[in-house]
Amino acid sequence: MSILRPSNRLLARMDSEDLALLHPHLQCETLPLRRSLETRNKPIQYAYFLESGIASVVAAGAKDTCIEVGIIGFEGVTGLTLIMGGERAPHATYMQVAGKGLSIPAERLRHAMECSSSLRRLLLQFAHAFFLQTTYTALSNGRSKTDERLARWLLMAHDRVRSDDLPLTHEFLALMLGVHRPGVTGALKKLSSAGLIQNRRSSIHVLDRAGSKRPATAPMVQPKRN
Amino acid sequence: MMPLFFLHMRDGSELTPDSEGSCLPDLAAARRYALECARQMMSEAVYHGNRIGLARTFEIEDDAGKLLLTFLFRDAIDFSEAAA
Repeated sequence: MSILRPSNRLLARMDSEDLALLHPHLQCETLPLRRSLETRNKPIQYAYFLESGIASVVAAGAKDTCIEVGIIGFEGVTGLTLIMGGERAPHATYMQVAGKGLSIPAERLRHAMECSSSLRRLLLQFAHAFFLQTTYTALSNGRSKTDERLARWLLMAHDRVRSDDLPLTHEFLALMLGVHRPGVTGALKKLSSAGLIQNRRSSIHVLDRAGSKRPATAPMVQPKRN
Repeated sequence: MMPLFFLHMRDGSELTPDSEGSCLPDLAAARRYALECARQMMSEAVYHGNRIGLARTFEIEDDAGKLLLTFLFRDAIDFSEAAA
């Protein structure tokens, strides 16, 4: 990475002293699809300041039922448990859209946070933003129709991918939304008939971002990033 | 390798094709999956006051496009009025 212009938003917002605390320990990493960043109930080894791609935090219930509880892209960092003083990951975190990031060993991040109150504040602000995202995901999961939840999810992914083509399969979206695949196929068809997206093989093309906000925000206000 | 099953949904003259398919052990598992999917989709429709679509079907096909089973959404609901 260039220390002058990091493409991760958190690193970009840090003052130079905080960045200097982290910089010697940051390692550039290519993060392929499905790469695991955290394993449930295992100590977190590294936090990742993502520069591109999307990491997904997935909670598992009984009988391998899974549902996504949050996503992280270039606006943030994984390892929120570390930031809040914990050690073991409560959920699995893995890459859902391939990308790149800067990793830092857990103990290095912990130490840097002990040294700098401004760094601590910045990272806790991000943890709070992630918590807000999760609360709106809960509201959306409990109260919205599949097509509305799908529209919201696609907007959140679009915010982080810097392209109108989202490389997502129906199977993957079904996991993200905690519904069966035919439910996603039907919801995609609905958004597609409304001219909001174009449903392609293994990808979804966002045609009308402003229009996509209508179904996504019908029951709720979208939390803003940063 | 588990075989691929495709669940194309038919609603009157409208067909929503399944472009991806699901890997499942056998046709019985594909039928169970269709049952769960139909229940989930109809529950959501009931909850939000939309048309239930009882006459919808899943046309379950194999990898070669051969129709193996037609699953009727109506068969995913217990219509009995009182406990026997």
